[in-house]
Order: sequence, then structure tokens, then C-alpha cells
Amino acid sequence: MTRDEALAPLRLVGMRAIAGFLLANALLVLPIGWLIGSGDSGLAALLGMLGAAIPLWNCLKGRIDAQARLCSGIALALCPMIYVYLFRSHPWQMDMHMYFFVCFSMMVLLCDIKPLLLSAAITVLHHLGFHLWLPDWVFPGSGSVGRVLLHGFLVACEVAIIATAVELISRRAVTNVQARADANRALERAEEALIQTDIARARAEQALASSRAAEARAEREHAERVAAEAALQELSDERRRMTADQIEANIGALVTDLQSVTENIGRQAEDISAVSAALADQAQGLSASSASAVSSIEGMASNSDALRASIDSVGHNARSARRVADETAASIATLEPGIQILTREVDAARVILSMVSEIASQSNLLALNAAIEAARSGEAGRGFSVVAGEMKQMANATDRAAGEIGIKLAGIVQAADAFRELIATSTAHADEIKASSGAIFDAVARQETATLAITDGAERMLAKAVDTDQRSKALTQVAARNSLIASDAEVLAHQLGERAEQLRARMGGLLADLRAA
Amino acid sequence: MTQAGPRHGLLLAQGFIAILVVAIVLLAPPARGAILIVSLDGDDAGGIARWAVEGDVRLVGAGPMAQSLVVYGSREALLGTALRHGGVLLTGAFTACGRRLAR
Repeated sequence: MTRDEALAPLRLVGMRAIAGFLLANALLVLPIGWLIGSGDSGLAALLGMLGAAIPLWNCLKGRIDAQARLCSGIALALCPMIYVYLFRSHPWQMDMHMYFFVCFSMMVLLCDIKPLLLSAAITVLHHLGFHLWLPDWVFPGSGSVGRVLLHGFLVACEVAIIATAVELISRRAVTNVQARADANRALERAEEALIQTDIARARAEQALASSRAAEARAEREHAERVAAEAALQELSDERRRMTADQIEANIGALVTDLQSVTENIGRQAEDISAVSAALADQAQGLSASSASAVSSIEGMASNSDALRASIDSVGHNARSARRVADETAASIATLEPGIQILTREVDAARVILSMVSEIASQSNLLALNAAIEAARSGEAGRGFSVVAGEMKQMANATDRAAGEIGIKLAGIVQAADAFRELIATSTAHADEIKASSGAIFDAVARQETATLAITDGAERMLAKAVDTDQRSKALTQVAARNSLIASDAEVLAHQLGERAEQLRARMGGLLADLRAA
Repeated sequence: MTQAGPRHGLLLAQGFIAILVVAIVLLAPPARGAILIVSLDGDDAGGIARWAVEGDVRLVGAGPMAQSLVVYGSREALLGTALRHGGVLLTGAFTACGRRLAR
């Protein structure tokens, strides 16, 4: 803890006391001024409040730092000045200087010599300054340096005494605070130790209670044990006999059961031997069957390979047939446009032929008119009549030729129609061949898939048959081991029967001894 | 200085108040008594005396400066006249710590 922290409570009290003192100092100016008949009391009170304003502000804010303490020291130095001013027309003015000692003493409450030194400096320096520049203001008519220095010396003595007191009080306060802090810490440790002591005492009491309970329990158990030993002593003979009887009964029954179990084990071992032999026979048969199955599956695998080769050949042929059908359909498709062209040309020839027939008919009619006109012309038209007759014959011949050409054209059209029907039939047949070859191709693809599945199945069956063959061989070995174990069990059952007989004999002797004890 | 100002602001203010209080205590004119009139308009002692008599005062003598005059009278009666003629009133009895009424 620092010095300032230790002195803080004292300084806070001192700051509050000085603030109250300054406020009272300013307010008392008014009644005192009225009593002495001063006309300056209002201004003096105003100056007193002005000097006390900042210390009051610091007090309200709770400030006790060095700056606040110096402000209070300056304010305390102003207090005597105000009252000396108030009494300046009064005979007691010089006496009011003694108020300086009161204000100086108030600074002891601050526990700080700095405000004290500052206040003393203000007092001494303003007197010394007045003496130098305005000597009549200090000691009118009788001032001297020696008198001022004497006052300064007295003030210095006052300051030295008060400062010593302040330092002693401060040290004492710091020591007290530290001692109180140490005492508080010691008190805390003591309280903690007291708590620990209470805890330890509670634990000790708990342990004592536990110890007493354990002691009581031990005594109770001891009494019970003594009673039990006595009862055990009383019942020991009867219990021994009963025990011997129970042992005989139990051991006899046990031996009997053991012999029965031994016989059962022997029978079970014989059964196991028989089962093992049968199992070995079955395993050998299974091995032979699995070997045969392996052979058959291998043959099936080879047949499936041949079948797959045959299916590949059929597929090749089907693809060839389809290709031929496609080529045939393409060739037939090229004939259709030619037939259509032929039909159009025949139709055009028919048109021309009808024109020729029309011309022949008109020529015949013209020849007839020419013959009529030639007959009207008489002899002059005879030659013309011959020409008309020739012309008529030529028109008739032309008409006949046109008719024959029409018949030929009709035949051509009929032949073209028949050829078109033949093309349609061929096209239909080619489509059927193509569809058939496609179906064959699809069937071949499915057969290939099925053949692959058959081959895979055969391979898996072959693997399983081989595994079965190996398991049958292992089964044969297990059956052989079972047979050996059954033989060993028979031997052990026989030995166990002998041991049971020996146990029965020894227990008989032991029980005889027990009953005799 | 810029750092010391805010940190010691209250202390400086308290010092200024102390100087102000000391100055007022030393120089304030009394309610009735010797008063020193200082002319700010440049009037000499005669000029000051001409308007000072309006305040019902008694002339005491010339002041320490050329434009000053010491009179005896009432502060309230003289204050209005002095303000009208540019005069400042100070104490005429220099008795800060001692007791003496006239120079």
C-alpha cells in the first residue's frame, strides 16, 4: 500500500472540513461586517466565495489529489486577506492577521506539506513585495526590511513546526493503516484457520462416531461368534453323522450316475463310430458322384462351345441372306421409275394417235367433198376426182394404221401393268426375306446369349462340383477322425468306470472312518 | 504547456483567483474615505476636480500620477460621476496590512 493510499481517508476528511471552513469563512463576513459597520462586507463575501469555489467543487467531486490539495492551500491563504480587507477601516485590522495562524493550522488536516509551503510562500512574498514596491502598504510609517524578515522567519518557524507535525501524523497514519491491513489479513487467516479447525473437529467427531459404531459392531459380532461356536459344538456330532449319510448318499448317487454316464458314453461312442463309418461311405459316394458330375459338366461345356460355333455360322448366313435381299429390293426399286416413264410415253403416244385419227377423218371428209366438187365440175374435175379418191384411200389407210397402233399401245400398257404387279410382288417378297433374315438374326443373337449363359452356368457348376468333390474328401477325413475320437471315448469311458468303482470303494472306507470319529 | 494546461487547470484557475482577490483587496475604493480618481480621458488634476465636486467630495490632493486626484467622500456618490467622465476609482488610503488613512 502506498503512502497516498494510506492517507487517502484522512485527506478526504480534511478536504471536507476545509471546504466547510471556507464556506463558513465567506458567509460569516456578512454579519461580522455588519457588526463593525464596514461598507465592504458584500464585496468581501463575494471574494470569499470566489476563493472557496474551486475547493468546494473538488469536495463535491471527491477529489483529494495533489492539485486539489494545493487549491485548498491557496484558498486558505486568501482567508486572512479578506478579513484584513474587511477590517481596513477598523482599529482591529492588525489583529486580524492572527487569523493567519488558524488557516495555517487547518492545513494539518491535508497531511501534506506542499499546500503548507505554498500558502507560507504567498504570505511571505506578498509582504516582501509590498515592502520593496509599496512599503507604506505593509507597515505605514515604520516599515523596514528587518521587520518583514522577522515576520518571514516567524512564518517559516510556524511552517517548520506544522510540517513536522504533519509528517509525524502522516507516518503514524501510514503505520496504523498498514498495521490495520496486517491485522485484517491476520484476522482473515485466523478465521480461515478457525473454519479449518471446525472442519477437522467435525471430521474427528465423525471418525469417533464411526469408531464407536465399529466397536459396537465388533462386540456384537464377537458375541454372535461365541454363540455360534457353542451351537456348532453342540451340533457337531449329529451333523457329522448326518453329513456322512448325506455324503454317502450323494457320492453313491454320483458314482452310480457316473457309471451310468460312462455306459452311455460307451454306447454313444459306438454309435458315433457307426455313424462315422456310414458318413465315410457316403462321402466316398459323394466324391464319386462329384467326379462324374465334373466329367459331365466338362462335356456339356464342350458341346455348348460347338453349339455356339454353329450359331455363329447360322448368324453369318442370315446376314448374307439379308444383304442379298437388300440388294434385290434395291434393284427392283430402280425398275419402278422406268415403268412409270414408259406409261407416260404410251399416254403421249395415244394423244398423238388420236390426233392422227382426227386428221385421217378430216382428210376422208375432205376427200369426199373434193369428189363431190369434182363430180360437179364434170370433165374438168376428173383428174381432181382421181386425186380425191387416192386421198380418201390414204385417209382410210391412215385410220386403220392408227387403230392398229392403238391396239399395240393397249398391249404395251397391259404388259407394263403386269410388270408393275410383278415388281410389287417381288418387292413384297424381298421385304419378307429381309424380315425373316432379321428375325433369324435376332434369334441367333438370343441363342448366342443363351449359349454364353449355358457356358457360364456350366463353368459355375464345374467349380461347384470341384468344390463338392473337395468337401467330400474333407468329409471323409473328418469321418475318419470321428471314428478315432469315438475309439478314444470308448477307452476313456472304460477307464472312467474303473475310477468310479475305485471312488466308491474309497468313499466306503472314508465314511466308515467318519462315522467312527 | 499544452500538456500542463489541462492537467493543472484547476490549480492555475485557483492561482488566478488568488491574484484577482489580492488586487481587489489592495485597490478597491472604500465605501467612504480617501479615494483616488484616475482619468482615462487624459484630464489633469484640475479637470478631474471640476467634475469630481459634482459628487459632493472634499479635495485632498494630487495623486501619484499626472491624471489622478485624491478626494475624500462617498464611493456611491462619486461612482456615477466618474463613469460619466471616464474616471476610475481606486483606494486613496494605502493600508493593505497596516493602518493609515492619508498620504
